[in-house]
Amino acid sequence: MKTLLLASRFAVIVLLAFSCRDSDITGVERPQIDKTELLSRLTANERFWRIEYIIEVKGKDSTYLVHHEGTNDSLTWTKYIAYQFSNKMELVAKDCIGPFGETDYSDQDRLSTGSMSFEDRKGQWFWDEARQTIQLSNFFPKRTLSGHLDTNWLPTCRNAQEAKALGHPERMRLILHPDGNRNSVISYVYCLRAIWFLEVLSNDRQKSMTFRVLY
Amino acid sequence: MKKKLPVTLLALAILLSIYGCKVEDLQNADQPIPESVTQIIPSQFSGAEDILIKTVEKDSLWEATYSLNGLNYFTATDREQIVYNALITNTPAPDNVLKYIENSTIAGGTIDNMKVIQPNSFANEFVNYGEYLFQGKQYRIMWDRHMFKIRLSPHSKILLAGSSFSPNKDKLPSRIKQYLSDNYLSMTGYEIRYDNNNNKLYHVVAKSPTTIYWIRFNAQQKIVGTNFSPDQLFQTRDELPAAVKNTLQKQTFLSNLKFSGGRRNSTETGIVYGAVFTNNATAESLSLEFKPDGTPLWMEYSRY
Repeated sequence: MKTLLLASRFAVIVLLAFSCRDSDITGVERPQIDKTELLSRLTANERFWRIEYIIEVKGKDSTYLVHHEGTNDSLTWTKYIAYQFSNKMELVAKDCIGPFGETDYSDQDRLSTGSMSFEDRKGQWFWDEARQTIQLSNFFPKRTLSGHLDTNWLPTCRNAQEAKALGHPERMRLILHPDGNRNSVISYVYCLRAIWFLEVLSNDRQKSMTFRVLY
Repeated sequence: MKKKLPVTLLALAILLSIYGCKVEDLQNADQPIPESVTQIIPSQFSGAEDILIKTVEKDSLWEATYSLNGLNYFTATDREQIVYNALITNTPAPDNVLKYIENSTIAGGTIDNMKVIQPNSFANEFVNYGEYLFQGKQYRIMWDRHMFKIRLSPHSKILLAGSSFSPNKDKLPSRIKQYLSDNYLSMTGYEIRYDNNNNKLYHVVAKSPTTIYWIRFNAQQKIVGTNFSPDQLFQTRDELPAAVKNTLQKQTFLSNLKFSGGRRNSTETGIVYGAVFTNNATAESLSLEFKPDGTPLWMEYSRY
């Protein structure tokens, strides 16, 4: 079983190495994406995203920069950044404490978050008509990174009920480049996993809140 | 004996006030008003006269007008109690309200039939209200005691309000409660509205762990409009369908407001397009909804 898992991960890395470089958009037939539908899913108010893993792609070589076998045990909770695509075209970054890494799919998980999202932590996103995808800039915390949403891995759910009916984690992928250089030899693949906020479990006078979430 | 006489007289007076006042039922034979319902107003307001009762919703809600001490009231009762009681003031709207309207996006209409909701009604903070005739349509205009918050929405003669804190929080039917629960939403407030044709509408405000939404349900408890979970989002006015854009273009009063977002919701009763306009400087907000062919479905204006 472990061999199978390793093999599948290797396959993912190999695929990424050949797929995440930007091709010349003029020469590629891209499926038409309905911008209005994508935005309704991308900006769902109850969904945040956490980084599940980060892969660095350098030429044909790919290596995990962040990769973590996660558990849902609260003893292993860790602090991390949760992102949200707000409908004001901001990429909001919030501090959260909760299960991290490739944890099991569950709707009984808990997570706590501060209520503040600081102005100086926000990145920006916008719809790129020519490339038919979402472009990102000023990515937090690595401000020099910018890039786009991988159109092969787009968000599919509009609300928590749909996310629950999906039966498996919702994921999305960002392709980021240093200094916004799309032709850079190095690029980074950020795999984001959805966190759907289902219920407020406690509210400490707006300083911090604990939620039941669907990971 | 001397002590018992005033008590007897008092009891007689109460009995006379209950049975002596004129209660006129304007009902079809197939919808008789229950005897118990006809007794609610006289027993609550001794001396009430000229009581006229009509059925609003069969077996559950009745409206009535009556006069008491020279003042006229419009009221509604359920089977047991008065749920809505408004004094018909017959006075013009206060000067500061008129002045506000004159300088606002909704200028140009006329306020009529002013009423003030009385205590013990199922009411929210908007206790002052009247009918506002604006661009040929009738709206309910309402404001709070401090005349700070003003709302305009389609006309409703009866508006029963409740919240998650009020004793009547369970007035929402089970289908609506189930919808909220299925979508991880909790009710924070609601209005049950009846228009002049006794059409019923539930306007529910519900919150998720991160956001507050509103959802309107018809009498069959099916969604007719909402800003929750749209299936399309429009960042500019130009992205709306042509028919909706055409209708918006005719609304010249929107020129002082900025388009702040649009959406499409596939509801149980059909596709609804929504557009929100705001003016941050004046704290005005306008929410409009349309059918795909551009027919207006709903308009709600507020200043907070």
